[in-house]
Amino acid sequence: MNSALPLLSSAWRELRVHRVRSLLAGLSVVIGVAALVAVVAMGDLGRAAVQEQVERTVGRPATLSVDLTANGEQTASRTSVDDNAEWIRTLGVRALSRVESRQVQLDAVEPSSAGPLGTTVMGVDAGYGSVKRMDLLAGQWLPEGTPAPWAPPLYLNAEAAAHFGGEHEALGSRLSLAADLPTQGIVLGVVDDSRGEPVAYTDIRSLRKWYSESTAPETAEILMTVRPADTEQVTSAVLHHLGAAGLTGGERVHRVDDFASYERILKLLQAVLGAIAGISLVTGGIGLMNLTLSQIQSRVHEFGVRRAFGASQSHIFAIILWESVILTAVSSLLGTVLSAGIFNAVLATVPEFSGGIQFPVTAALIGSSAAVLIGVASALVPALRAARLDIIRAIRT
Amino acid sequence: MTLSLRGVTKTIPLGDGRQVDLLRNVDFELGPGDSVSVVGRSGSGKSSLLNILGLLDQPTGGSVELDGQSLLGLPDRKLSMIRGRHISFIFQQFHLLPRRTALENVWTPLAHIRDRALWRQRRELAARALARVGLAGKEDAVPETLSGGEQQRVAIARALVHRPRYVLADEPTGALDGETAHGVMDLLLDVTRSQRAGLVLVTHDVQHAMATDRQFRLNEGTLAPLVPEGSTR
Repeated sequence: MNSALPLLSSAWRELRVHRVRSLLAGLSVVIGVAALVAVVAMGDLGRAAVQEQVERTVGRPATLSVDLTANGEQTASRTSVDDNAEWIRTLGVRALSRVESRQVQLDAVEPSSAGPLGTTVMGVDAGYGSVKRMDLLAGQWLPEGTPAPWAPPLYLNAEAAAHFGGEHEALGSRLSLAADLPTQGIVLGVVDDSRGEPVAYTDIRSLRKWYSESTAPETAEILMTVRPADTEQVTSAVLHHLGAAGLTGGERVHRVDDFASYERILKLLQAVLGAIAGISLVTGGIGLMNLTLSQIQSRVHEFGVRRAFGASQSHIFAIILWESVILTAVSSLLGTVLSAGIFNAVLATVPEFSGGIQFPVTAALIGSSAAVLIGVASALVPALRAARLDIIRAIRT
Repeated sequence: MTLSLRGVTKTIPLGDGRQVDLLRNVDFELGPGDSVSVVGRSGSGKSSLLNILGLLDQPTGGSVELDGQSLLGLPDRKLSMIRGRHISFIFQQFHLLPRRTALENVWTPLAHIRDRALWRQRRELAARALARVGLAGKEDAVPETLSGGEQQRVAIARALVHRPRYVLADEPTGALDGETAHGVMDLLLDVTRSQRAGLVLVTHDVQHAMATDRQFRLNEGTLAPLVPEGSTR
């Protein structure tokens, strides 16, 4: 009877009868599928980690930098920076921040064992936190729309905070910004910017209050986030606008987030790991074929008896094929569940990524389908052999 | 409804290039409800005769017919279908499937018949067949836990569960002790008669052979009545 129901039923029963063999064969498929799915998932996880790192250090995609340092020494005037920033806002960019930086000696006002810290203080707009990923480790942000505070609000990065005793100890500290200025900033927060060197951030308006325009900052730039598709259009428009104001040079506007180069490396890595997982799947398939072939040898008598009682060659062929399909399908399901468990366990250890990463359902489907196909392919030769057995010899085996 | 052999010969090559005739011009007929026994020494061709009758082997010459229709040259699928529907076997060594329960063994033929209704009823039919051979309550026993006599009873239930027209029994009591053998033989004759199935019994035991309607002797491939016509038993 070649209809599917008895075949499926027989195949399932035979798998249960040959439990150990089924478990061994299934295990290789479970591991293969789990490895394939895990590799893809880990690739996604790595990708998210790299993307986050890039977003912290250089900006979210696509971040454009407008360099307003003239001839490498002279910066554009504050008015020029502000005017250009205002004009660029009209292009409908996602986020924008003016950035000015100065090298200063930060020193604790209250007696402290920590000596002065030579660091960069960056004056930024509120949009800076949107251009770059910047997570607050301690303290709080100034509410949006707060008037420029008299004392510069300081946000130290983790490295700078470490100099002043650590994240929580540094909070609320008053720090002088320079020995020759009566400027004292208050540490309102500690941020993670992944720069690896001490940096302090403050409101650009506060920074400007304490430095006259004649003391030029080391750098002056405008950072903005635009839709990646708009990169060229915005670059061209800004360059044209700056050129009209006498700020020439094509290098003034450039894209700074280079996630694409990381992505190429990640894709390569993922492809290599995927190939390894694929090889493990194929190896599992070969193991499956080996087991199926040896199983055929041990089941010759059974096939002979079945043939005597009316099973055709095609029926024997179909039984073995179905057994393999059921085995690989169930094993694939288990492999997927296993990999999902591993995925969730790993994700639980890095909660900061949990929002951006989904379980790779496509990889699970591809892995499972590949496993079933390999199961079918590995069963073909054994199934043909079993179907072509001589009935009389098989019964006497 | 007759299964017939017409002028069947079976020749096999020997390793040294010679050939040996296992069957020589055999004519044979089996109708529903017939019971026929074939006796003969080992190597006389009894098993070859059963294999050809059971469509497990092809004759070298002559023809095998079912209701006058030649079965020679039919594709495997068709032959398997006819075998599955109409012909059943009982073997000397039982040939039950190990690690499957008695019930699963008995319904084996039902898995190969294109009949969904039979498949759905497989449990009931198999349980009934087991009860018929006196093994009610042994449905879940695996062959490894059954005695020889019980295993052959399971084999008889398997042979008859789908009500075949013909049952081919190859020395069904050969592996059993005397008392058990008699019990199994009586059961076999009883159930085949009650189902009006044609029975071919290959046996060494003339006493068992005499319990069938007709008896033949196979000697060096030639089939002849055990008791010559006109003589009395």
